[in-house]
Amino acid sequence: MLQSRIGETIDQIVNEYRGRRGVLLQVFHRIQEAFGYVPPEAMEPIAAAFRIPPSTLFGTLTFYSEFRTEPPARVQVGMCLGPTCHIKGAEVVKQILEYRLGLSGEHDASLDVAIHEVECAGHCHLAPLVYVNGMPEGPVEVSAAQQLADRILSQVSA
Amino acid sequence: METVKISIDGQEYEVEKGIPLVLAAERAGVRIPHLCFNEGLSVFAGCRVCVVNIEGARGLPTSCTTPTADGQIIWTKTPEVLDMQRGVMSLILADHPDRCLSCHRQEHCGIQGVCLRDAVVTYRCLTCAKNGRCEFQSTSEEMEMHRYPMRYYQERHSWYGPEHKELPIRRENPFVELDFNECILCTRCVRACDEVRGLSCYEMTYKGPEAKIGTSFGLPLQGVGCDGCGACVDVCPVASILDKPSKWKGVADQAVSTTCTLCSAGCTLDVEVKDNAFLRAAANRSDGANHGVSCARGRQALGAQSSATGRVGRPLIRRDGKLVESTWDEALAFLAQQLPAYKGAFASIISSRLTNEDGYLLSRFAREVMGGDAPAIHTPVDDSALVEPLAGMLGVAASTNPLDDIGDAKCVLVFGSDPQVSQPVAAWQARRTARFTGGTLMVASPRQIELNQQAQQWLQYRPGTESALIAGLLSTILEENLTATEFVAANTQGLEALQASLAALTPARCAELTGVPEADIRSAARAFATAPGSAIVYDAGITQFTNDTGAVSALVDLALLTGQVGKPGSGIHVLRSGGNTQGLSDLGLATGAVLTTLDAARSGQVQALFIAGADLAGLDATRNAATAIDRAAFVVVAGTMLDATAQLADVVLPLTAPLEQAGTVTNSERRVQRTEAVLPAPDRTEPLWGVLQALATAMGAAGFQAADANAVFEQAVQATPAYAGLSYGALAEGGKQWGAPVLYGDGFPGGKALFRPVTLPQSPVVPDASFPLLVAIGYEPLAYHLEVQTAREDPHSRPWDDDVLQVHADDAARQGVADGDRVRVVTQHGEFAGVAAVTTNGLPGVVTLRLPALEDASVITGAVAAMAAQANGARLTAGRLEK
Ligand code: SF4
Ligand code: SF4
Ligand code: SF4
Ligand code: SF4
Ligand code: FES
Ligand code: FES
Repeated sequence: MLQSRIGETIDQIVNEYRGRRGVLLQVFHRIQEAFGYVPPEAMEPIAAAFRIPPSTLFGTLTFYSEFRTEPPARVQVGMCLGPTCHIKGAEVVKQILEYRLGLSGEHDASLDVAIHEVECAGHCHLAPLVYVNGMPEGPVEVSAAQQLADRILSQVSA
Repeated sequence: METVKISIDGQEYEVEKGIPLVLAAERAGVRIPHLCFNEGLSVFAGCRVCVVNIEGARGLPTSCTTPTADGQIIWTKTPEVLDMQRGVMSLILADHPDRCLSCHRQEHCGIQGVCLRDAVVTYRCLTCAKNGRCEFQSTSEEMEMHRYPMRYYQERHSWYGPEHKELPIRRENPFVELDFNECILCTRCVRACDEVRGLSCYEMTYKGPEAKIGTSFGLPLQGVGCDGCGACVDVCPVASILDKPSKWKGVADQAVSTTCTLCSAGCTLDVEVKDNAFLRAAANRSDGANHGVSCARGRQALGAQSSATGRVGRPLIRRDGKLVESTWDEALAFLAQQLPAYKGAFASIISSRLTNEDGYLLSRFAREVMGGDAPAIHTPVDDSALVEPLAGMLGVAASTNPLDDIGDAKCVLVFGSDPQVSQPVAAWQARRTARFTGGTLMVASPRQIELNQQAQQWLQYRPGTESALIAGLLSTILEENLTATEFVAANTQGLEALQASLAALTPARCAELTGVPEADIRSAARAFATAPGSAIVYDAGITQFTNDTGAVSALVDLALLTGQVGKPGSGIHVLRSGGNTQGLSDLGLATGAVLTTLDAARSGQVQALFIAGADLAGLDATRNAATAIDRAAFVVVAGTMLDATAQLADVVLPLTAPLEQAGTVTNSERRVQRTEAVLPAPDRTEPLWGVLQALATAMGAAGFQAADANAVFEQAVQATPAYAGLSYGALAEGGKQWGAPVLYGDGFPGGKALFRPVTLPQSPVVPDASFPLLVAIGYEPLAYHLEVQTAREDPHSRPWDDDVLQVHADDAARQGVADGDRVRVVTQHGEFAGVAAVTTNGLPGVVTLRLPALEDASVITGAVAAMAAQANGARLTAGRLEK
């Protein structure tokens, strides 16, 4: 997005909340909805509108793990590590996915795929369970992990 | 002070009631280890090292959160307490890279010795910049952590160390270096920047094991508003935040408190000395003028003059066109022989940083021995117009209230000024109002200044319309009946004339003139008039016309009309330009006279010049002073450096530098304070007063002898009614204000205070087709004052950019100028080149010159020389932008 458009969107959101108290988290949420993360450019306008120094804002922002301070990956992989998935080999599945997706060791640093752990979501019948951009898939057995990884990669490169 | 009786470790103590126990114990001489607690900051209670046993209390409470109360029985050394304290400390050590502190072999090699265990290169105190002056180190030692079996992390730590956090060391800031690898997360820095400075550059970011101190998106400190005040440096208990220039210079031999003379705040600084040289300076936290606040200028530049290379080491006399070394005896004899010929054609100029004793004796010398006028005070910016209305309308030529009253006021109006630059302590006070006392801070300024971040209201006027804006405030108050009627009736006269002068200056008309919306003028006037205490703060930026007192008179009118004089938490605060301008003018020396003095030399009316401590010829701003100095037949320059002015002299006299001389200075709140000889003066340098008494005596004048600064000060007190009752001895520890702390509490000296009619400046600068832009002067905060002492010694040390021309984005777009382009501003009177900074801070149609070396009174006729309309002494002119 163009720099000026980012600025405009931020100003719009900030203006909606201007003069109100206790709305900081809402503002962060709205900005994250708009951009997928809270960009550094957001700090000055928020600081000015709510009279909160930028570093203090950043402290609040980074306190909540929901908020991202960097653009999110295109594909978000959620790996369930709940008890059932654990028993069915989720750790190994995760390692395979990480390796194939280039997320571990020397292959690191792809912005387009991110893998994170999630809690049991009650889909234990699908264990080992993997979310791909929020959609549950399973069972992703150890043997199927490689194919899933390849599918994700083709999605990313598409 | 209410006290209570408590018992600590079986001993009875009488201590102040309600203060943190850890502090009460410390004052009583019992040390309870603590890390996050720091006197003067709020309580955080994060380190948990300060636990004690209090009989009857549950568990082991932290002594920093427990207020003292009558009958408390406290045990600080029971096995249970010690075990808990050390257990907690061991957890903090586990996260700290040093390994010696917890190493059981420490007794063999010591924390500063060669490691007997794993001599690999590691983080150790020995290789740490804070070694020997580290609070964490001393606390660990005091707790004997090396004897404690590290129960919680065992050998892992003390053998091949923890995984380092590997955080990058941040070296971008010229004054503060950050290395959070040693950080113990005590948050003192967060609290200091927030509570002491009101800036909040740091915050605890992320959480859990990832938690670290950080700035917004990891920006360098200067990107989040830091001005290098060093408050965080002073409190950090480890090596994470250090004064950059002195980071690796080690431990001081001694520290001496003295007064900073670099601006009119007059901060008390603790100057650390090593090997008889300046090491570093820190803010003194007792009750001086500054309450533990200081600024980069004082911390960095004050010591530089002493260590400067190129100091004049002995008297110089010009022979056959060359300055040659001589002796004091010779130089004095030569002067005594030459000077009498110039009686009546003699003038002198003295730097506003020299002491009262220097000024007093120079003044006497000039008048009594040489038959000349009182010396002219050379100030960074001409501020003569700033105090005349205070004297003329109220009675005393000085600020009405102590600086503290800015912070105590419920409404602060900072007018046309940038205190962050001219007097950082006043800026801190103003911020205190906005942030901590629930008061209103209003900034009236053409451009955004640092204080805008905290200000609730910004009146953005066009440069040159200061008086019109104040007129708008006055008219609103009259129209809306917000006048302090009783006060005005009892204490003032001349209201009718004021009213008459405002007849045409309605709020609406003033809005038109200034460009400030009428609603804003009205709301600002209401806020100011209705607050229980309102303070006005201004510096030399208030008037764009050097000889125009109109804006200041109008501000005095404002204070009178609303009854904001003569009571605490209000008042008119003038931030004088120059460290001791207040003191020197109290003693009768003249402000605003440098240019006329130089003119007199140029015209031949003055033939002998005596210039003390002011490098008139060397500064961009007064380069043309050289022509005047050249014209004088006989020039004496007293100073520390062989600078451009000294090069023009017939005789050069080597002076002691500020940190080498004891004496007194007076800050802008009329506080007379002592400066101490912190450093030994080089052989053959003398304080100015010492030189003058010898010279006057050699010339046969009587009554100049004085044994020391003390004796000169006593003489000065005798001769200065305002200083009656002051004594040198009583000025130690924070000094003493002359006059009542709050002036006019029991009426005005002349019976009544005088309103003055509001007049708008005679010749406002009007841009036209060929010169469509207004050209104004701004200050480069870090450069202000710093260059003179630092850049000259080390050209690479300039912590700021080149000369900058601040151009509004609209004008830049029209002219095709991009950020960073080299551009010229062309005016009728000359031109000025610099780098364009394109910004939306400011008004379209206004270009601001941000001058690094704004050290000089005649900036107005100097660098911008020519740019300024000399006829009315404007700092404002019309011009155009060229690529
Ligand atoms: S910060 Fe202090 S304790 Fe840590 S290594 Fe440096 S001197 Fe030692
Ligand atoms: S130096 Fe002063 S302004 Fe800068 S971060 Fe430290 S406390 Fe804050
Ligand atoms: S940087 Fe220093 S003052 Fe700040 S939290 Fe860390 S140890 Fe404490
Ligand atoms: S605020 Fe002024 S007096 Fe205080 S340290 Fe800075 S320059 Fe010196
Ligand atoms: S444990 Fe994975 S879905 Fe329940
Ligand atoms: S000093 Fe009491 S908890 Fe840190």
